[in-house]
Amino acid sequence: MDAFQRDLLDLLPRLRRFARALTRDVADADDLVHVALERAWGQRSAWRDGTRIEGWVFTIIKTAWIDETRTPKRRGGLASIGEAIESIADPGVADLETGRAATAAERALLDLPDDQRLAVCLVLVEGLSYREAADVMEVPIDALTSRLVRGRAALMAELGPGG
Amino acid sequence: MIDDEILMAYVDGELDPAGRAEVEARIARDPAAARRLWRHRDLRTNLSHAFSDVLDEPAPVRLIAAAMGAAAPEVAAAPAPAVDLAAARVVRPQGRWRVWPVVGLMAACLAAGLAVGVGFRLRESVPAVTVRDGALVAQGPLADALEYHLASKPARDAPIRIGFSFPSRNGGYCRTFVISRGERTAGLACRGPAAWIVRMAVPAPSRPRAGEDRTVGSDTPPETLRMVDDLSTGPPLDVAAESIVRMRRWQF
Repeated sequence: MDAFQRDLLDLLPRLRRFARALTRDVADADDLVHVALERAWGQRSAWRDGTRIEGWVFTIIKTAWIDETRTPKRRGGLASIGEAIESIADPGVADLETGRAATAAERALLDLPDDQRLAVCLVLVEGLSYREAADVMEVPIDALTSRLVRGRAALMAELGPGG
Repeated sequence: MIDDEILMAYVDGELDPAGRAEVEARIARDPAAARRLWRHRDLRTNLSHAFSDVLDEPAPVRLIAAAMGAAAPEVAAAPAPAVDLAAARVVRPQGRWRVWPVVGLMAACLAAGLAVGVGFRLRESVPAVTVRDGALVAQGPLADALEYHLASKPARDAPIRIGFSFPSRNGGYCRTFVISRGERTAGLACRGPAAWIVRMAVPAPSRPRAGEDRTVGSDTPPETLRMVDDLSTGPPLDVAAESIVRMRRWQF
């Protein structure tokens, strides 16, 4: 097993979490990770050995996710978001596949606009620095912080004082 | 009034020491700002646990294969296993996924003499099996060997040796084993959702003489091999495949 394989395997649980936070759906999330891993292998020469692989693969996931959401035909694309929101509104149904109800924070996160959700996922769920998160999103750092501010304000309004 | 963006940057660890000191001085004399800071800190703590269940879930085999760079065309050309078991395929019984081409990782050759030692002493005080809900459940060193040890580095005098591992039509993987202490027992155990269920235990063939190669054939009693034939939906796993399936806790 070479370093590239080992790094991707080590990262796999976090890639699945990131994708799940983005996609609202367990099966779609794993499909997204699958697509991203295949792209990562296809673009392996673009990865500089010795650099942190995490941001690079997160960027690939983000790009793949944006591609998917712009293709409404795809399951989990825009066409099914209304449906997904309906099922998310009922916590007993939302996470049937994982066998537990989504937390209030998870449901609130899934209701954010895409760009705010991406920013919040990268910094607050995945723990990236502002610089790393801005690089993944391929935006200037002040664009990242403004999305974080708006996303957090919406989350705190949704979750109330206890959140 | 202190800006929300500054409070967020503080809880995100993005401020330099001077910036941190300034925020701390402000919140020390402004209880309302302190409450806002706590809310930001609580939200960060809360979200840092969001979706964390997935970190403990076994990853699907297809994603592990994709992370390893396994490509479908190589799979079709995978060599047949040296031990003639059922057809070379892995069936995902849930029917939710396509059949993924992980066989390429798993199929490669199953070398002779793969019966392998495990690096611990069998503690006399712990029986190898117990009965739980009517099933014979492996425990202690046997459960450890089944769960963690790969059929790879041979160790001659280990008390439990794992023979080989294969996908079962009941879901999950099964492994053959030999306990070489005392009565010498050969058996077969299959991974259930919570434990290894011992499906068969029979007297093991006598110990191979010094210098004689240990092989699947000589080490595994015929009745165990028949059960393997009956249960298996694919070839035995090679070492690389075992290490991957182990990460999935031996489940599909």
